[in-house]
Amino acid sequence: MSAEAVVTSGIATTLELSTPIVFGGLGGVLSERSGVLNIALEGTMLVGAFGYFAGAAATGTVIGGIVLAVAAATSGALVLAWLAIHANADQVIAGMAVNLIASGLTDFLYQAIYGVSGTAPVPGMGPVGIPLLDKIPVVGPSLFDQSLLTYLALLAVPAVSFWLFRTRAGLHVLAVGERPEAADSAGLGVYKIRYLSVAASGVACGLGGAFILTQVSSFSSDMTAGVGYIALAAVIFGNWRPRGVLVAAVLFGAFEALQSILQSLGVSVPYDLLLAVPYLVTIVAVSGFVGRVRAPQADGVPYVRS
Amino acid sequence: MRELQLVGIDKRFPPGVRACADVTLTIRAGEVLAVLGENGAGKTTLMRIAAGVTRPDRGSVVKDGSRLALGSPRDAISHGIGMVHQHFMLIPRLSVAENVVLGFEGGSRLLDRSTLRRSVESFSEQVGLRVDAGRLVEELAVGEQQRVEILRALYRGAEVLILDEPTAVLTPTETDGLFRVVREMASAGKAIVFISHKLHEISQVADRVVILRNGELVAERPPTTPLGELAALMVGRPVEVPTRSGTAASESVALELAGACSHGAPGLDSVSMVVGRGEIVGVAGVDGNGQVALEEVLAGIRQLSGGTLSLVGEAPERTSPTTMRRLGLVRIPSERHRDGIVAPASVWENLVMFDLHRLGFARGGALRVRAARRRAEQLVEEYGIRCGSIDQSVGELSGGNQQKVVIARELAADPSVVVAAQPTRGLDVGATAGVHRALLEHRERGRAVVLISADLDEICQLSDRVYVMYEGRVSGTAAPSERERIGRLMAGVAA
Repeated sequence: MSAEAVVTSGIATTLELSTPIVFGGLGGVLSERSGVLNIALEGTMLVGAFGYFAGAAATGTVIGGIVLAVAAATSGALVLAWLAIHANADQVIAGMAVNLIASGLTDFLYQAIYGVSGTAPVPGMGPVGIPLLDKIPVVGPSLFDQSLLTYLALLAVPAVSFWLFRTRAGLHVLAVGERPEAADSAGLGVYKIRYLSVAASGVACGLGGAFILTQVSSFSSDMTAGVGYIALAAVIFGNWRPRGVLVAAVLFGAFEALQSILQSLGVSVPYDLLLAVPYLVTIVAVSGFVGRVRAPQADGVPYVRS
Repeated sequence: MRELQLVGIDKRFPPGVRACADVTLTIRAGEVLAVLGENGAGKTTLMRIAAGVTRPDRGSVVKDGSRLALGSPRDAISHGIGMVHQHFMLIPRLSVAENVVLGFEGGSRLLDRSTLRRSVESFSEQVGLRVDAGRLVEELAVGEQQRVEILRALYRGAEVLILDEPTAVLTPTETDGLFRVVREMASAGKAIVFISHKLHEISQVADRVVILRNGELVAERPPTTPLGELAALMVGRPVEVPTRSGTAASESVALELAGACSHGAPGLDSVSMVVGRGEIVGVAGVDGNGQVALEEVLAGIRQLSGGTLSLVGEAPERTSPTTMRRLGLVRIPSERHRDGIVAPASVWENLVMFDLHRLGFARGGALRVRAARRRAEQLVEEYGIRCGSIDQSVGELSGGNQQKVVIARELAADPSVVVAAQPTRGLDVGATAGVHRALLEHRERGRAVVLISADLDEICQLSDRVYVMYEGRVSGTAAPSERERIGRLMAGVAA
């Protein structure tokens, strides 16, 4: 491979691998900024992936897949929301419960509906070049020849950031996530805001799950393979900010891409070690080596009106 | 608005505690009404009802003759009733401007930071409460945060402003500033309710005083009423204020710190102090200026990182609570619930737990229960601890009686030095007098007391000499009569 080709494919692979992390990470930010700790990103994305498969299989269209992915993941997120907001469950345990249920349920439904042999691949989403821009050397084929969902993820980052920090609704989410009793006394509907925020995180996870499925066009058990946990790491590393999530996601994606490139070049690197990098980087981040990251004050704390 | 009336307010909390018993009260525009009462007298509950936070069982809130339906704080705000809670309802990581407008942002869905900031700042100048609207609330001192709280209530259109124990967290200088603001707001036609249990504040700020006791409104008085009479109305019986007699008999040194440093935020920064036998040495300061570090260093919990500590002539290399206790230093901890008592254990267990060996209640690993209980009975009698029996768990006692348990246990061994940290925090007038009496008696016996307190009245009333702490250092020393100078030192102003 030429050096240029290595760089091009490196960047392209990085973006591709970062996309679901960005979606999951944005979901995490939306949920946790409102005060609901979201360990369930993994399970929610898995439900989204299955939803895409089922929707695309039933309708034979990409749109059908995406609609069902978002609907299924949002329902999954609302289960977490109910456990966390109304049942006052421990949010770590509630999140893990959602993950386990998602893993078992998608597996069960897949086999129940499509049998052991499965079904034909569903329509996926290949790269779509942006006219003119994709002709730029190196950058063109890497940045501007991606899945539509990747473009959407990249656009979603500034959009969520703007919404959270520059709009009235965003201010309300921040207030609820920091001190719900203060928000309540200002007349904000704490429960409503939290439900909506967790639902929004479900939408993001649904898109992330859909992306994972569109890359391979068929469902397999636990196919998210830890992307949701890496997204969770990206939330923390990114200091609960959309732009921080993007940086983290690209960084984590780059490590994975590096690993596959090294492998294709015949350099042997222990695969497991590179997989552990996001978590190691997150530990470094939370232990305060690279500036201080700080969770929303009420993250994971149920609000009980006195 | 001309007046707000609370009519026949009744509120019970399970199990059967009557927080408000048929209270009727009028709050008038243009005046400051002080609501005075002991802890648990129902002051806060009554005012939370007026502010829509709590719903009454019976009774109504009437504004200028029309009855209000208050289902939430927001309802109360829409009728012009705002409350500044004792624990501020601010969001530390948001800016002052964002906190002020939260929930009342007006028309636009978008927030333009600089417009927001300018409009809050111009509002703050208009009402005479200057704030830097762009700063984060967490960067502000407590007094400034309180100003933001008041500003927010006014921004929301409050005509009645309820302040719940607003001076509890302020330095004397900040307190004076608050009183000025309160007076100005009253002359601008607002109705101010000032909840307090500090008697001396009343005459400075109030136009009228109502006194609550056990949920009932027991009296209304002018603010010029003698403090003794107000105290008696609050407590329900005459209260003697124990005072210091004679000068300290401090020929010999009981405790000395020389250039003591310790880590922490804030820790101690080269603190030197001498405490003689037969004196009470006050350590004044606003919370969070190194008092906790001092308390823990003296108690042997925290090690010095520099300087020396000597106790009755000995300077232990490494300290621990055990060595300090053996050398005759005991502590009445500031965190009573965490460090002072074992809440689920019984009164008698709490009373003897530190002295089992010294008093011979533990032989060969077995507890001599009967002897220990006898000892506990004596202490309960001697210190007037009110409990059902010595088997009752300490957690069920009132705050005042819990503190009596701590004091009885610590003073019973007649230690040479007592470190009393915030010993009357959260206690009512009667219990406070009891604690003060015990400390003064200890002094009379020729023992030393280090009184660490954020309560300037307590410091001035009991101390023979005063050290003031500011940001981990001793910012100055003063005589207890130099109240204003102490206040300035507490604020870190060179005096």
